[in-house]
Amino acid sequence: MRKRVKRYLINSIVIAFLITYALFTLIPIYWVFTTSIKSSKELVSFPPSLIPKSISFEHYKFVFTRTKLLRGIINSLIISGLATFISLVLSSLAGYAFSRFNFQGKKIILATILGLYLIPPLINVIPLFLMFNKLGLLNSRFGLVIAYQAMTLPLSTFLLRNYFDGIPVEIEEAALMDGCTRLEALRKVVLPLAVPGLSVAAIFSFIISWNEFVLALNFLFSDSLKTVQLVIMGFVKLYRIDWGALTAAMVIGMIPVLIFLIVAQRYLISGLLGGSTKY
Amino acid sequence: MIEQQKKLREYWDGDFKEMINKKSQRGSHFGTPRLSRSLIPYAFVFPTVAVLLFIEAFPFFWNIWISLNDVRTTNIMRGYPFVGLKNYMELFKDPMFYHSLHVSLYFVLGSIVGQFMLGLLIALIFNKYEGLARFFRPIFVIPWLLSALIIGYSWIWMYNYNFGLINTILRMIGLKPIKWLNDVKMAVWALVIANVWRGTPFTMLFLESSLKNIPKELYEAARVDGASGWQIFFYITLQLLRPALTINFILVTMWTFNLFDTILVMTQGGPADATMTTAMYMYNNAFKYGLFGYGAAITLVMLIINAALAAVYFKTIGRENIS
Repeated sequence: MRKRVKRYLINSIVIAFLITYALFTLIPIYWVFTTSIKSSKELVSFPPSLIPKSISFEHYKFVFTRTKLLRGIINSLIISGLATFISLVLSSLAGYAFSRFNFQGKKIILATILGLYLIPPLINVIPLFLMFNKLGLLNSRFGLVIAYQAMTLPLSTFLLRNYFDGIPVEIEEAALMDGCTRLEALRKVVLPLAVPGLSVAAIFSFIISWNEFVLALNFLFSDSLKTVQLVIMGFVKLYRIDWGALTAAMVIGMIPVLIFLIVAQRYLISGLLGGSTKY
Repeated sequence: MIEQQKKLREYWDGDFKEMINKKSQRGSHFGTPRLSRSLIPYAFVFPTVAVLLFIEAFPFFWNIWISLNDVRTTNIMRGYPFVGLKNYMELFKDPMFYHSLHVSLYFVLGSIVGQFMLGLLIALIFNKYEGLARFFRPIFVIPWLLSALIIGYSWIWMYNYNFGLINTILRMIGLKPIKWLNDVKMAVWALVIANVWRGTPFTMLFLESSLKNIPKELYEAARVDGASGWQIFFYITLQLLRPALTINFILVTMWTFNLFDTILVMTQGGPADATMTTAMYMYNNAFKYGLFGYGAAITLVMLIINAALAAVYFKTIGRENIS
């Protein structure tokens, strides 16, 4: 009897703790979201209401019609899409080689990729800036896409290598026996089987590129090239911040992450850690 | 021409025929112990390695050279003078640098303590309660996936003196509102809270996946031997978690020490340099004042500190089991 009471007590404490932490996690997002749907009039009333009294989409309308947000979204889609695509092509080749071949220097190359991945991006910001300045890659979408490979490429390579490891080799063997080259076998047999792994790698690469703003901030100068993060940043003026518009833009900036959460929940652990723990 | 192609194809597939003749094996590598002599694997790996050398390895080494030159925005086009170790000399005499190390110490220590206590606790709960984990995990992970910019602004809004949620609640329960990011004493801790919010999911997922690798039989054996819950936790769970903890500590320390994106958004080092971490100081030097050489010197000193901390972790928590 006492044991059951104790068990019950522990379970309630555990659930209470988890709920508290969930609130801690969600409250900043809740605060941003509710701010974005409050009317301008309600926004300036003091004290602020914890639950919005009215729902209005005026800030969303404002950011889409009166600001460069849409342009920013398009730029971000182009940059993140291209970065993801390049990452996937290169990493599926490399991941395949690391999974299927045994070659001299394999361990060293893998360790080098991991080691480079561990270099804090901070260390490379200055030399990359000077390098891109020399090569004329500053203020260009393509330059940024290349720079993002530093973050997306190693992660996708490790993710895909692990995924390919789980695909039985017999299937490709048959294809290779029929006279396929390695490249054909990869493209026609292995990649179709690796769609889940490819999607996870794609989503991670996309989110990383979508979220990045420090490089974008220093590498892009033209207004027409600015990514969604930079446009959001531009909403903050030195003395006055229009919180309604800013929070609406932030909610829009979060959308890819929320889609990702719904689509790829199952792969969260393997995906988030695949790149950093195994090699 | 066709003849040539055929030859080429034969050459590229050479290693494969060799391997299947040998008897194929299931698993990741066929013909495991045998090294393939063909060039295919290198051709497959080359583009990735080339890109990474270009954007990671080369800048890394060039950074050392930059730190030995007086590179500024003003002379970046005309060519810059070589100054040897002058940047480093100046850095070691720079009171702001020592101040920034001091701020970083609080920031890193606070973040790590918060992140690890919460992360480990949640990981242990998730490991035990599968059903709860499935429900709560996706929620807990959200902050880790958001952009630093959005995290920064969300917390600025939370901390806002008049309209922030925290102060609104403080007023409701009759307490005095706090200035948070504008208060010299509070600002670092405000950043620490935001950073714990952002970083805990990583520690949680990392430790949870490591906990899953601990064989269940060990727990059963210990229980048969009459070990209590706490004993099992200290002598089995924590001991077996050590390698994972070490790696996790190193990664988190490194990331937190090098972090400047949320700080750049939230305080930019202010008020009165109260949140000027070393990373932020480096960023300001390079991209605000345009002193690239000096900034590069700071990054290298930071790299050495990173490496030293990693070594300390390996020597302490990472050491072989005593028991």
